[in-house]
Parts: sequence; structure tokens; C-alpha cells
Amino acid sequence: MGKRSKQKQSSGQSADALRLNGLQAFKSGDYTRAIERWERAGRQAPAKLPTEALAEAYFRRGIQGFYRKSQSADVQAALKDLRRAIELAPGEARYHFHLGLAAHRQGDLESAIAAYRSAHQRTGEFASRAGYPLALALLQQGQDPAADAVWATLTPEERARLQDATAFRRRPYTLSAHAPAFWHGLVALDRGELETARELLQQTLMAPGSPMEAALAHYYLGVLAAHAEDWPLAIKEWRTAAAAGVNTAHFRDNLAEALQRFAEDATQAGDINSALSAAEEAFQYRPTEKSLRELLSYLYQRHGYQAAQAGQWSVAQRDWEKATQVGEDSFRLAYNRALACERAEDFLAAAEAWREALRRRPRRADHPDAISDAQVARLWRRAAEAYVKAEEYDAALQVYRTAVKWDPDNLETRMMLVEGLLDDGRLWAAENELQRILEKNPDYIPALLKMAEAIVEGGYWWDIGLAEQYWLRALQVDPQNEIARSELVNYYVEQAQFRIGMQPEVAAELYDKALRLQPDNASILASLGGAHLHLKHTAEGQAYIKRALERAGDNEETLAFICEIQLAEVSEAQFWSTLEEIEGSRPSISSGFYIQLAQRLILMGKSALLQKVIERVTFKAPSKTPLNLTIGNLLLNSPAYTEAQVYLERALSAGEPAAEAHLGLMLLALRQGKTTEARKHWREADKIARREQDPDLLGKLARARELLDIPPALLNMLLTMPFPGGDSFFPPDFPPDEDFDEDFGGDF
Amino acid sequence: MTEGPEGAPSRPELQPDLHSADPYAVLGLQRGASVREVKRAYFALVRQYPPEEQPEAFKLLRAAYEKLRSAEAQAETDLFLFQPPLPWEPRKRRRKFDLDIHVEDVWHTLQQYGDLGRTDFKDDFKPVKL
Repeated sequence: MGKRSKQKQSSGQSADALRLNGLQAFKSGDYTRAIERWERAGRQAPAKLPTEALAEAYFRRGIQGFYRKSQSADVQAALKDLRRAIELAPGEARYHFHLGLAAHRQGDLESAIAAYRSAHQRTGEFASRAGYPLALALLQQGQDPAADAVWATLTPEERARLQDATAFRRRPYTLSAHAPAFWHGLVALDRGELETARELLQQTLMAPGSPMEAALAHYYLGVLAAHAEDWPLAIKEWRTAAAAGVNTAHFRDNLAEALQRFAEDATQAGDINSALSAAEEAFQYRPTEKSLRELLSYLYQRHGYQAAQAGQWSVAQRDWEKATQVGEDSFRLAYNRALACERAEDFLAAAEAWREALRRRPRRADHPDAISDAQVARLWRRAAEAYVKAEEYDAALQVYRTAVKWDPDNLETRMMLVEGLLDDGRLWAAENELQRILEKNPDYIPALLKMAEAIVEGGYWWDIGLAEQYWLRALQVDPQNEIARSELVNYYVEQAQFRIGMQPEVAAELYDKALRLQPDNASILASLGGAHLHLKHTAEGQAYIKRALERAGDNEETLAFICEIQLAEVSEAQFWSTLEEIEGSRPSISSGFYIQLAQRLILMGKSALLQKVIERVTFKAPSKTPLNLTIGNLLLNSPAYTEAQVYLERALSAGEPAAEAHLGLMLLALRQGKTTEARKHWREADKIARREQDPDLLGKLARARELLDIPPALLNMLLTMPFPGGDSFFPPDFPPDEDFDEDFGGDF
Repeated sequence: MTEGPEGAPSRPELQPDLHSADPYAVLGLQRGASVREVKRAYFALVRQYPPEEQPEAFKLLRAAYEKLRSAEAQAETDLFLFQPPLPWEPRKRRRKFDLDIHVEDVWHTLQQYGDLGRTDFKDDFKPVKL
């Protein structure tokens, strides 16, 4: 049952039920609930208040609370409970006695004496037990217990013990011979008889006495070591005393002082680890001591520095955070924290630490950590870089702007601001900043290139021509600049391709410009040749094509492009002639070339010509290459899809990947409405895929299986996706690449 | 400084800390060494750790050298090096040990006898009746 439902239930209970409920709680040790139930019963019906039981519940809760060992013990609440028990049952000597003990332990001798006397005045066990602590409290308060009525009630041993102790009420201390060795030791120490004191204290440790005497003997042996300035021994003795329960104010002060002195000496001797350990221990006893906090902060900084030098970033980070907690933060500390955070790849924390370091940088020029404005700007830039790495772009931009303010002539920093603006999609702001950079230095190449890039990125066609000016300017400043050169070439080629249909003369001029920048670029030579052939400048065109063939090497794409130009701009005969020339001059040309060529021929709608080309290739290379399969798949997604059948069947007979070929044939059959045949090919492909346990193929087959259940009209729409811009259902699996022959062992 | 084999004074061997995050320490130099000192140390260490015999050590040396090889590189590197704390200046303080005896410690020993030395009083709990 939940707490709330229990409460709800008890709120409607009768006083009798509450009494019983309280008893149940009391017996289970839940005195708080017992008190709550019984007090509620009393409010409902005063006659039903179980006064004695309630007093006992308060008493037990008070005792438990007072003697609880945990940190959460609330002594004041416990004392309040004990007083409440007395209010409810004032005749109970037990409660008075225990209130006396608790007050006595708290050092409240006045309250303790009053409570003991109340107990002692009564009769019974607790009246008698109150005698000794009462006499002791009187003694502690400076009174003579022997003069009090309580003395007569003490046992002879108790009297003897207290009698000896009365010697400590005033100097000179004179003890009887049978007083404990420990007390004699204290008296010797008080008289300055240090050796005697040491012997007596050591004697205390040897003899089986009370544990508190032994613990205090260790404390005073530590005092003797301190007299001799033997700090390590003093610390050792005091640590033993602490472990045995000594916790007086003078003990805490002495141990903390010894530890701090030890830490200071070790620091000066360069023993940072020992110093840190001692200072940390001293800090437990003396957490508000300013000199100790300063020392500890310094030691954490030193320790962190050692860790950083050894590459232990997280240790360094932790040490410097502790240094900040115990001491004051400083430029140097925040700076080191920032570096450690960067190394630990905690970039947000690094950025914040850089900001903190900058806030705390010394403003006085003669300070050892003083930094110049340029360095301030550099640190701001570092903070911004950390924000970028933390993907906090807004903060990064803000900080970049601050960096620029500090060092406006630093164009590198300004370029970073530009990058930040571009990353944030703020194109206009980026262009404005670039403009300002170019006003400062019109020849600054990074800004020229970035401006051109920003213009192109903007995508406004009326602005594109502006980009050319920036690239040209960059090339003028640095004729070797490859970025400007290649961007310009790309720009001219794109513009030429755009104009070749309507303005072939302009296109030829643009290709010519591109060629002047990259005179050996075979693709540009071919394009320029193509443009001249288009303009019927046959001799000039073929001259460029010839140069393109010479410079194309084994570049499959360019070679296929050259063949395409000959077919498109000249004739089929010229196409064959060029193809034969390519094959003749390059006996090891790869299948990738034919696939490139096939793709171009399919796009041109020349599938009949393609077949002639491939027949020659197949004749030349009857090896297990997936050439047929690739071309089959290309055709499958083209208007001439029916012609895919020849290649896919040839793929099967040539030993090319059979499951893929069946899959292609299945799609072809589906397009042709031959469902039974499609199912047959799917089953064949499935059989192979299962045998080969090929997960990719199995996945592809699962998707293909779904096609078999699609209505024919919808299916046809799916399978006639635009080619080549749209994705086909199964894109060709074997795109031409340079590893083609190596992978499949083909050798044309 | 020791004598070389032909009587010429030989340079003492540098003590590089190859795994330090501080490029100066990698080259066995003090912070703030000049570019000239950096070059001299680097070339001496390359002879000490030939790349063909100790390629890993050489890589570390080279990386450190790259960070310090010019005044510009050095300025950038110096700006982002971990900084040792400023020297500690002990605060003047008058703290004394308390080497006196404390009578309260005598009372503590007396408190160990009887009920003041106990913490478990369950025996003193009495049953209740309603």
C-alpha cells in the first residue's frame, strides 16, 4: 500500500484504532509514526492519549538520534525529544538521567548537572547511575564533588578516581602515587620534565588501560615531538590519536599546523606529491585558513602542470579545477584549464575557460602574464575555434567578432569570421566581411578565392561572372595558384557546356580560355575540338581531337567522350576509325572504357551501334567479366530496355554473376508483363543467393519479391523511372572503376 | 664541459624528454630558447637519434622542431604552452603550536568510565502498555 493511501486510511481512523496503529509502529521501531498516531489519537480524544507510551517513544527516538553514528545525526532534535519525554513523564528518572548524559557529552555542564540532580533525587537504578557523572560534571565545572551530597553515594573506586582528578583543578598539580601513569605524564609535561613525561606516556601505551588514555597518550607524545620540532613524528602520533577518536580543538589545530608546516617545507624542497598530500589533510581540519588555501591551490596547480607535461589531461583538468575551488581563479589557471580541456576534447569547457582566462588577464604591462593586444585577439580566436568544435556556432561568431575588434589588421582572423558566417549560412554578411578584408589588402588571395566561392555558392546567375574577376585577380597575384586556376577552368567549361547548343562560337571561346589555363587537359582539348567540329571547322576540330587523344592516356572517360564527339559531330565511320585507333594504341584498355562508351551510346539512343561494339569486345575478351551484366542493367533502365535481354542472357552464358543476371531478366520480364517468366528468374536468383549466403543479394531479392505482387500498371510506373537522372529500382551494380579488371581478372 | 677526442671541447649530450607535451623539453631545452638554439639542439639530437635507427624518436623530435623552427612558429607555440604556476610566496603568519596540557583531556579519560563511555542504551528501553 502506498504512503499516501496509508495516510488517507489513518486520517479516518478512530482514536482507538490510532492507538493500536501507533503501538504497532512502536513495536516495529518506527517511533516517528508511533508518535504521530498517538498524538492524533490524543487530539481526537484527550483521554485516549497514551502519555507514558508517547514519552517512551520520544525517549527512544531521542536516544537513537543522539547516538546515531551517521553524519546525518541531528543532535538538537534528539535533545528536544528527550526533553519532550520528560515533559510527558516527569517522574521517570531514566529520562532525566539520559538527558544529563546527552547534555554532558555536548559539553553543556549546567544542563547536565540539573538533569543528573533530577534523576539522583529520585530512587532506583537511574538515581544511582546518575551519581558518578554528576560528580564528574561538578568537578569539570570547577566545583569540589566531595563537598556535594552526591559524594556519599559513590563507590570507593569512583571516589578514588575523582579524588585524584581534583588535583587538576588548580596548579601546581599534585597527584597521589596511585593516580594513572597518563595523568602523571601530563603533570610532568606541565612541569617541563619532558623525558619523564615521555616515559610515563609510553608506559600508558604499554599498560592495558582505557582506550581514551592510550589515544590521548599518543596526542601528548606528538606534543613532545613538536617540542623537539620533529614534525614527521608529531604528525604520526597525532594521526594515531585521531584514528583512536581524539577530536579536541587543540588537537585539530596542532595537527593542521604540523601538516601545513610539513607541506610548506616539502613545497620549498620541491617534493610536490608529499606536500600536496599533507596540505590536503591539513585542509580537512583548517578549511578556512587563507594561507593554507593559497598553498593548496599552488600545489594543485603544480601537480596539474606535472600531469599535463606527462600528457595526463584529465588529471591536470581535475587538479586545476580543485585549484580554482580552494584558491582564486587566475589568468594562468584558466588558461591551463582551457588547454587541458582542449586536449581532453571537451571543447565547450575549453571555450568557456578561454573566456575566463581573457576576463582575468592582467591589465598591468609589467605583470609576468601580461599579453599584447594581438595575443588577446589570438586567444579570442582560439576560444571561437573551440566553440566551432563544440558546434556552438552563434557563440563562435560572437567571439570571432571580438577577436577582430582586438586585432582588425589580422586578416587570418577575419577570414575565420568569414568561414563562421558561411557555415552559419550568412552569405551576405560573409561577403561584406570579405569586402572589408579586400579593402585592407586587395591582393589577399584567401579572400579573393573565398569571395569567388561565396558568389558561386550564392547561386545567383547574374553574379556568377563576378566570381571570374576574383579568380583572375588571384591568378594575377599568384600565377601558380592552383585553386584559382582549376576553379576558373571549371567555370569556363561549365559556361561553355551551357552555351554549346545555342552559342557554339561563344562556347569555343570559353573552352579556349580554359585550355590556355590548362593546355594539356585532354578533356578540354576534346571539348574544344567538338565545338569546332560543331561549327564545321573540321580541320581545326580534328587537330584538337588528335591532341586530346595524345594527352588522354588511359583516361576511359575522356576516350569515350572523344568517340562520342566523333559520332555526334562527324560520322559513324569516324567513330569506328577513332575507336580502332584507341584500341590499337592501347591494347590493355580496360572494360571500364567500354562501359563508359556504352553509357554514352545508350544516352544517344544508339543501342544498335552499342551491340556492334560489344560484340567485338566479347570476342576480344571472353573472360568472366560482368561487362554484359552492367550493360544489360544500363539498358534495362533506358527506353531501349528490351535490348537488355541479349546482354543479360550473354552474361549468364559468359559466367558473369548469375543471380544478378536472373534478377535483371526478372525485371525485364515484369516490364514485358511476363509474370511467370519473372517468377522463374526470381526463383533461380533466390536459389543462388541462398547457396552463396550473400546477405546483400538476399536483401535485394526480398525487395524484388515484393514487385511480383504489385499490380502491373503500378509496376510499370516504378520500372520506367527516368533514366539516367532518376534512380532506377536496381542501379547498375558494376560502375566502371579503376579496380574493375583487377577484381574480375578481365584483360581486354 | 668535457674534452672531445682531439682535445676540442665537446658539447654535453642533450637530455630530451621525448614524450613531453612541451616541445622545448622534447629538444632538451629550457622554455624561451632562441631559434638558433632550437636548430642547434635539433641537429645535435638528430645525430643522437638517427632517423634510420630510431624512426619513432626522430618523428617526435621533428614534430617538436616544426613547432619552434621559426620565430613565428615559436611565438604561436609559446602562446599555447601549459604554464607552470607563478612561484609560491609563503604568506607571513604567526601560528604557534599549542603544547600545553589540557585538563579537559583528563576529564575525557574520566568520561570513559561508566555510562559516559557507552553509546548503546537499548537495555534502558522499557516496554509500553496502552
